[in-house]
Amino acid sequence: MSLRRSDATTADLKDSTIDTIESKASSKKRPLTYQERKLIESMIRVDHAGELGANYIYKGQMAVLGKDKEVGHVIQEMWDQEKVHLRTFDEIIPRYRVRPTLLRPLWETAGFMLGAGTALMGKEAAMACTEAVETVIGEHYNDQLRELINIDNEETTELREVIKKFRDEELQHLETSVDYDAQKAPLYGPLSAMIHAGCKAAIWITTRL
Amino acid sequence: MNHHRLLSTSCSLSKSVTTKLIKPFFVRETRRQFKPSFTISQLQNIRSLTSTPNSTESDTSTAPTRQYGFLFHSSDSSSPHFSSQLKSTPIPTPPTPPTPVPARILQRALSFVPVYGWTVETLSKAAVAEGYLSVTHGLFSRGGVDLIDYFLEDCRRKMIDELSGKMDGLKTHEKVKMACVVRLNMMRPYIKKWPEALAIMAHPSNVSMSVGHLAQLVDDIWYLAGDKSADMNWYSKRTELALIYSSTELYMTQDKSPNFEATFKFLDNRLTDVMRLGKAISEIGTFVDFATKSAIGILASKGLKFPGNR
Repeated sequence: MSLRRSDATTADLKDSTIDTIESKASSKKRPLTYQERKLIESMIRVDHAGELGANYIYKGQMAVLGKDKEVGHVIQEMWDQEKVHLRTFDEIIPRYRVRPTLLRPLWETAGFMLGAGTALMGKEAAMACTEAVETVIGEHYNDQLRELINIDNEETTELREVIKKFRDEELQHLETSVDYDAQKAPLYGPLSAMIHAGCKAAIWITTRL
Repeated sequence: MNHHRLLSTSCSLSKSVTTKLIKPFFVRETRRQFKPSFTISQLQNIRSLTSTPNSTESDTSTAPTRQYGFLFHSSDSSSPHFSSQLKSTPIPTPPTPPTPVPARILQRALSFVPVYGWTVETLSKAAVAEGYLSVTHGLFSRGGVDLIDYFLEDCRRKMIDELSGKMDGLKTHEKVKMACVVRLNMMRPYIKKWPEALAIMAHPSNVSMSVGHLAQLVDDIWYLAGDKSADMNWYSKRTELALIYSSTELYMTQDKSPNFEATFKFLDNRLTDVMRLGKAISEIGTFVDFATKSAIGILASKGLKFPGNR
């Protein structure tokens, strides 16, 4: 599947005329509009960058808390799931011909610093960080799902399934982090508000770059 | 000479009508129709030009189907439908390319490029060749830029068509090279006029267009070559290839060797350079990685604790 507007070859043009005739029967088969493609491209780019950041957060946490008996294996489990998420988006990016984020090095360092920094503040702070991040990611995936349902096109089916699955897993991480005393972290309120704002800013930037 | 008198009277007669129409297309075209030798009956037709339909037939032989009425006012101007349309609404806005007619004119224009270059003249020659008025070039508000834009887009499509199914089993760098060769071969007929296009493309107002096309081209090539990178390599690969392709194209404009042998040699050398560079960079990466790990190892053996060491 190619999502680029200018990929339309003559054959595609023929196909699209057929599509428009068929679209009267089912709108799901219509070709995506230019705006819809751009929207989906930026969604994939943000999700990829988000998973990348999440990976580095867990990597940072593991660097500090890796040997911790209580939470070490919990973080490792969550990290393993995030690795699968990242691999999935690594594969989706070339398939949908999406430009990956230009700020990759920034998200890598920022993610690692955030993970390692909160982990140095203690297990609870690390969990509070996970909670805040996963809350934003969960909300973000929900917003995307709403938009994809609005687009209502066959081409988005796969992406919808992927995002739905990942959202559920991210929300599981959120629950896990709360179970492991995230809300008992020192300066829980300001810390989580700060991470919230940071994540939202990162999302905003990545949709553009 | 009598005819001339007649002509002038008929002109003044029809002038009052034509000025109402405020249509330069129309005025110019009626004048053009006067050029060939004509008969009185034709003159009468001209006098009644705006009132009776289908009165002037002098140009209909060259006029194509009437589907795209706005494009050839000459033959259609006689129809009352048209003039009423003009009175009620302003000049219909030309559609943006590529709708069928502009695309056809642009396609035809490419064959005039080796002689007339990337100019408005080429477009009007092509319009005439396609059976439209020479002023139809007005459809393309950016003139030569529109033509270049079309050419680059056309080449992209052709390259994709030509390469599809031909690259199975090749290595990545062979695929990239093959795509570059195919694309450069498309430049052959236009290469003498290409510096002219490059000058137009370098104009600040056209830079976004030309850079966009180059970016699209290299993105296509990497996509066709099966590139799967989703990290910073995505950018570096495209930048490298864009530099190689554009410099090779520039080299080609000055290439005097038979069959552009020197150009393809140049391309080959640049691609090899980059491969060597890539290898060197990854070797540096490996070395740095190795050095860090051994440094950590030495320090760890001295009793230092590292979070990552387990």
